[in-house]
Amino acid sequence: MQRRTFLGATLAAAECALLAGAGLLKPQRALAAWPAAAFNAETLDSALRALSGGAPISDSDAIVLQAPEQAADGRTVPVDVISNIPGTRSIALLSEKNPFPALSRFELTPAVSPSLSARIKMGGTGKVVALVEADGRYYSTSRRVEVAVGGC
Amino acid sequence: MANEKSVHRIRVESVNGGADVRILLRHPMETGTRKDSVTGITIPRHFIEEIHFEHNGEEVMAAHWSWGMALNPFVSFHIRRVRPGDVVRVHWTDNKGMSGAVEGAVALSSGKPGRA
Repeated sequence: MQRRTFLGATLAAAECALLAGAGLLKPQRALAAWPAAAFNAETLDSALRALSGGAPISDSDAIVLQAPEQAADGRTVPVDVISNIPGTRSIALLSEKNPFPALSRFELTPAVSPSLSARIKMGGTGKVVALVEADGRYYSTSRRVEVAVGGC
Repeated sequence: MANEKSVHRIRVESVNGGADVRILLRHPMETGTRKDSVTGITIPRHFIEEIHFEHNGEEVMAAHWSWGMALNPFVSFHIRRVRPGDVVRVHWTDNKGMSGAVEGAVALSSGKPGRA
C-alpha cells in the first residue's frame, strides 16, 4: 500500500513519529497547540472568533448537523455532524449556553470521512454549532436544542 | 488484544471497504465548577485535552477537547478504506498528565463486526 503522508512528500517513519509527538497533525499547519483562547472564551461569538482566527464564517447548509430537539439531560447530548464541503479539514463543536461554549476541534485527514458523532455537555437551551474549516475558509451551521436540565 | 480488561471500549465495524469506529471512553470530564454534594468542595477540573486516532499506526484524525465534552465521552467516525486485520488505536491525554488508549481491529472474516 502506498504510504500517504499529510505533507504531500515522503517521510521516513521515524520522522513521522517525531512529528506526531510534537503536536496535533502538524504537517502543513503551524504547530497546533491546545486552543486555550477558544476554550476559555465565555461567549459563543468570541469562541467562534478565536477558533476562526477572526476570519469570516459563512453559514452553510452543506453541513448536516443533527442534535435532539429536546435533551432531557444536558450532561450528555448526542451530536452528529457531516460536512459536505469539499476539502473539510476540521470540525469544531460549540454550545451557545455553556459557560465556555467551545467544546472540541477535530482535525481530519483525507483518510476519514468528514463526519463525526460525539456527546457534549449543554448548559441550557440554545444552539449547538458546528464550525467547519475547508480550504482555509470557515463555515458553520447550528441547531437549537431544548435542554430540560443543564449539564454544566 | 489487551482490551479484555480495558475500561474503554471500541468497536470497529467494516462497512463497504471502510470502517465505522465507535469509541466509549471512561473519564470524569470534570468542568471544575461542580461541587461535591456531601462536602461542598469544588471538584477540580479534570478532562481529556487531546486525543489521537490511528489506523495501522498512522494518524487519521486528532482532536483538542475542552471540559465541555460529556462525561465518559463517546466518539464515532469513519475510516474510508480498511482491510481485515487493520488496527485502529485511540490514545488520549488529560490536563493532569494522565493518558489512556484503546484499540480494536477490523474483523478477519467479512460480515462480522470487529470486537475490542
